[in-house]
Amino acid sequence: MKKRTKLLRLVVLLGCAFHLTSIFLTNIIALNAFEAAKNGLPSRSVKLLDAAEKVSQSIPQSIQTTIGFYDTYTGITGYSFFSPDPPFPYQIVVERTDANGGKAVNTMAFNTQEGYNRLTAASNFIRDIKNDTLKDLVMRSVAARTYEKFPETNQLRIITAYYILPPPKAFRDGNKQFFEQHALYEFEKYRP
Amino acid sequence: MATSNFLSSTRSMNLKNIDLNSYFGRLDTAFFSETNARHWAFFRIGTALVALSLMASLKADLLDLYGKYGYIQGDLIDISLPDYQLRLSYLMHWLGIADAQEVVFLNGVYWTYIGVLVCLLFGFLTRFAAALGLFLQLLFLGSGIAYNYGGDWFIANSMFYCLLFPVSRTLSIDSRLFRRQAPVFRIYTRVLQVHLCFVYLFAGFSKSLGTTWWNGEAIWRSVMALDFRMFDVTFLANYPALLTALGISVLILEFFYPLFIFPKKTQRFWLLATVGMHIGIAVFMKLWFFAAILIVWNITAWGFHTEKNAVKVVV
Repeated sequence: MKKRTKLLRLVVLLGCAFHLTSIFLTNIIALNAFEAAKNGLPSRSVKLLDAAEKVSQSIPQSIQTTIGFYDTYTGITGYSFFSPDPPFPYQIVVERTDANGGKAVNTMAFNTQEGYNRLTAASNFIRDIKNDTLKDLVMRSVAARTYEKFPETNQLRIITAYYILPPPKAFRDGNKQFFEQHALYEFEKYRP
Repeated sequence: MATSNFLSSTRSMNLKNIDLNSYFGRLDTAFFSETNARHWAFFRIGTALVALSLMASLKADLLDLYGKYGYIQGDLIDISLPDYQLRLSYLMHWLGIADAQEVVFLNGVYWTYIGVLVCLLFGFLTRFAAALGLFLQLLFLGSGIAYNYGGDWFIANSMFYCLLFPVSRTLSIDSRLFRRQAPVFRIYTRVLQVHLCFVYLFAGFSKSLGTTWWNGEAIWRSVMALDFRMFDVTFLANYPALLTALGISVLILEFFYPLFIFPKKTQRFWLLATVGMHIGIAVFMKLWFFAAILIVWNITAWGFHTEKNAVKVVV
């Protein structure tokens, strides 16, 4: 085998090793996102998460930054879908009232089924905003778009709520699912 | 003296029989033996079809999802992104396009992406198409960060693989035009296989940390969630054992994927079970594109006989 071929193969091997290491470390670091969920987890899980946290803390910041940068341009992400426990869905309910008092209750109104499929991601994005000012701005943004799409709207109420689903046994016993209101945002059309 | 000591110690450790050339030879065989390219053609076509269907299904919501004045305005999205993350507003700025022209701009980017995906589908200027496809997919990923789910990331990752891996060696216009005979090495398949092992290992591990996957409640919550609900499945509450079995099956399937997908004896079953799980996700949770792209990945990685002259598909 030619020296050049050997060298090329070595480069390919190293590139692949870097790529796969990035995926592995990204997922170790991503386990830190469960910090908030630790309270509700069994002690064995907390121990495992603590161990993972120690591993991710031992990764130098420069490497974490490099990996983060690399992930951004290659589409690598953490793979902890629906983990550790699927949360109760966070819902955004939009209640529109027109000048005649007619009401319509919906959520963010999309035109396609795939748009609606992305509501869960959008709701989780809003749920996870820690900064109240930013959250308030996001809700104003939702309101602005709703007024633009439905110009007949006069008053607008946006309710964020958790959709609480009882466990199967409780459901079987007659306890039904319900909404637990989290926040309410009210808007009125601006008339100069 | 030192040399003789070294030799005697290696003799005592039975190391003298190790032939470094054969060691590297085995590594070379494992990673650089030649394979056929059909599974990579399948990967390219599958990726292009999934991305095309996804984009087609989002056309009517482009402004709401990615517009500067969409439901979550672009400026609010931008402040939650690192500076180096690509987004549509950067491209608009670089091209000097005013906000008033946003609809034209978004449509332009959209149709360019569609064109790029069609090139990828037919394997025309494939690497260029994959590079541009990755760039455009990253723009949509950045600007739609509030709306993304797993499928979007896997499509970006697929574009990255289409850019680097030999996806156009067969069943492509490029292969007819340029008639290159460069070998297709096994290492690319190995990368995809190991990547998938990480995907399922971490997915299974992180699920196993909770309690609801063990008692079936996670399945119950997933299929009953308002946004995902496809059918009325309330009757499942009467079958807690089924829910528990499904939850634990998902854990076993994902966590032990790396262990059982490599051996030939268990490979076909594990592949079919994994594809079945994704079909379940598509049917019961409406996550069609997420399911589709992972089925493409799994079949590419394990579903073909990749020996150089073999063409038979396993599943």
